[in-house]
Amino acid sequence: MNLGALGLAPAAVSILIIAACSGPNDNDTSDGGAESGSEQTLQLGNPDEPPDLLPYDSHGGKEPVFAAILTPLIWVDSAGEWHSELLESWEVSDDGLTVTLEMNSGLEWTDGTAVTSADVALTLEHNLDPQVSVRAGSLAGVVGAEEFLSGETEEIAGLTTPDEHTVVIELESPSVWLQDMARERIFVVPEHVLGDVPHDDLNDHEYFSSFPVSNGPYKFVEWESGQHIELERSDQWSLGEAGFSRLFIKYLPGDVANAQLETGELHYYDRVDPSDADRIAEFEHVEIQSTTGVSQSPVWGLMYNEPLLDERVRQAMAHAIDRKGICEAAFNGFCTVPETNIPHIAPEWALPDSGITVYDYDPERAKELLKQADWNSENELIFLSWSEPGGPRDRALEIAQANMADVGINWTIENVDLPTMNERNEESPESFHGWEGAGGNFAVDPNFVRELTACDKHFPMGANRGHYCNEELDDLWSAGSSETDQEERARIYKDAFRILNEDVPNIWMIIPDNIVAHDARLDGVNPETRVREIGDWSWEE
Amino acid sequence: MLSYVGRRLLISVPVLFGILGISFIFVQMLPGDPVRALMSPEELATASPEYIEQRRSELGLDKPIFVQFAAWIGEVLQGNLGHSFRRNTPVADMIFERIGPTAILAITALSIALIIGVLLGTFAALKQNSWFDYLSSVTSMMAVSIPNFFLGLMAIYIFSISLGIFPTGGMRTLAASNPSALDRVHHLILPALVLAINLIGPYVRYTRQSMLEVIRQDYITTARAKGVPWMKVVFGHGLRNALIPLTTVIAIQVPILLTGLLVIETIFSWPGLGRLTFESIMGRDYPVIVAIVFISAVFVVLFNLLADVTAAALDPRIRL
Repeated sequence: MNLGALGLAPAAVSILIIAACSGPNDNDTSDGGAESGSEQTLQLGNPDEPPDLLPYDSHGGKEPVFAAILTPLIWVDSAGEWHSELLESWEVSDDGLTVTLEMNSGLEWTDGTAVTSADVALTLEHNLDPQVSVRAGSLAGVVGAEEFLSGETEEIAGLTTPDEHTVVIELESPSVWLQDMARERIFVVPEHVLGDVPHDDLNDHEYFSSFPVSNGPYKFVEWESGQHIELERSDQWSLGEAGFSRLFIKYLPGDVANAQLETGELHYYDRVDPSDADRIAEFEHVEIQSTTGVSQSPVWGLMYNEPLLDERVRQAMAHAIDRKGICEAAFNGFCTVPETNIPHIAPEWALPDSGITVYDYDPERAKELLKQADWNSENELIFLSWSEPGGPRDRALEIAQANMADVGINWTIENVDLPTMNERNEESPESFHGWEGAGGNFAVDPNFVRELTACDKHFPMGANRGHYCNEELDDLWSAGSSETDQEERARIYKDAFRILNEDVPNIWMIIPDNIVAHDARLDGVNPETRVREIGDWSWEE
Repeated sequence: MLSYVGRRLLISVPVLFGILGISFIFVQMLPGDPVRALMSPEELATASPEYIEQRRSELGLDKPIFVQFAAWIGEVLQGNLGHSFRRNTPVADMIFERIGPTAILAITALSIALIIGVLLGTFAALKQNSWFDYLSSVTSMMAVSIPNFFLGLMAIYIFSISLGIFPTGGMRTLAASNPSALDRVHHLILPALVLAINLIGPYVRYTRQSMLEVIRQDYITTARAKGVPWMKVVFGHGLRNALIPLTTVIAIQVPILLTGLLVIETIFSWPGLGRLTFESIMGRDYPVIVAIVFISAVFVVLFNLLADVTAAALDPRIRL
């Protein structure tokens, strides 16, 4: 046997395969950037490749794709501002039972068909079906939806389209349905393509693998699994002209994204680790922007059972944790500290400004409260964490653990992944005392907090992982969500937040900022809206 | 020879089915529900129990495990490998999509490792106890000892960021509409080199040890005494025989290579099976995990067979 062949033959095979997989030589091998004319390419980074491109959930990896090829019905930014390119107005009747959506005219699908109320109605119909959409729970309460889903009727009685520009939704009872819908960020799908598709067939429908008809600034080209999704400018976009001829959404881990930002292979990344922000800001051609985020992360969740039932123990924990120190040490200052231990980024009108305790860092007060509660410092508590090791959340939890140990509360942190934590939360909630919480959009409406604290929302029926229960609070949530008088609604929610402030069901540790790193030449980037206005982005003149 | 290969392949069938069964059961024992694993914390907050039950039912997770196993084996026997929970596409399609990039990376890395490892090992044996011998031993030990994730990140920092010689990841330049073969090779070099470095160490050590034994054999002395040129003696007679044990080492290293791919493909955003494995484990995509374990087992079995056949081809004294 020829010995050279032993090593060289496989290498030659590899090169041949590569050559076979390649097209003709293209002289344009630059990696994007501010090229001239129509050959402009933008490359975005995202760490989470989506499993599919169905628009019926809120997977983080789908967001830039849908923001580019479809149009959301309505959405709310992190400052609480409502936006819609599709709707001219959205109104709730005085009795809180009817929501009317009036559409802008002029928006078209890429095949020239007008975007009409029929598209919106079909999109809502899909999202009301729990077998199709993860959002169905949030959007429940539309008149006739249950009858339609059970097959008793062929249409949803409470979802009508009086004309091409109007959608009317009738609700079974006054609720915050419109706010819940706005928080969900629903992308409209084409009725003339999907109108006849049974709900059972939607998951496998070819529309969602090629998007032959879309209505956003870009059109779908292809998805190279494990690498990127490629889009191209849509000349049929009726709201303007997209700034780039081609757009790539690359799925890569954070470290690689940072490296590609530095080398210029990546132009935009909005999952920047706060501890990397200063270093990234020093890259020659990269700019960092940040703004207050909408969700809490991490939350030191507490199980509502012994030995944590006494509210003074939970209050002591809130006093024991140096949240300002954690904000600086773990989040590099890119965060807000909710010292009143309520999600204070809920709309301002709902937040109490008196009669609440400020849980500033006060170890002595924590010890005093523990003494009053006869706390046994021999108690060993278990906390389940699913943070990425070494990441800001992980660092924050470790500091909090040390802070609490200083006052005599001993936690052991067990690192698990999220599916494992979910399973233990469901099957053996008594096997641990604390859990890491994260996420939630509190900027739209305070009622979202109900999902995390109500007695009927215990995990897995809802997101109340700690099995906290306060019936007085539940009554307030119910009253607040059905109250149509805004002043009275504000009063009810303020009372609800006062209870949360005193009960301390969980410790809301940090609200991280949205940090966006982008090529300094990129015009139109706003950390409040992130990729949601991607159609307006372009290279600076 | 053919009957030996046939016999080995026949024996492999129950072995592979055994691996299938064990991996299916172990994967099912992973904690965590696949449906919830696909959902963000925010979605978990608002998802209705009906939605979760419906998804579980669609994926067949509401059935007893033996029913799931029987249904899955039925699909395997028909040439399918089940349906991905995450992507709702046939697993065979997903594997087919990813196996090409993995093969390119693995073959290139293996080739680089073999060429460098065999050359270093040979010269280390020929120059036994010289500075070159010590240097190659120390270097190969270091290559084995440094974790490949660290090596990968260092390589990106040095060669991509500081020197700007290679791209940081991916298989091609995205801005080019039809990237050239050269562009693809350019993207391949860094991940292949990093992967190769972890494999080189054992090749150097085994080649050196084997070569030291061979060059002391009588037939080498005879060849030299007959005036055969030294390089021909070394490469024509010595190395040929010294490489026989190396074929077994290559086969043994296939699982190490597959593990290395998992890390390297993630670091270099290489769209291969390794990255798919990582994503599938995190997403509790049982059918994909089991299929990848199965395919890895097939590779290991085939490479072991190939090692035996190659050894027989290299050494006529070995009778299969």
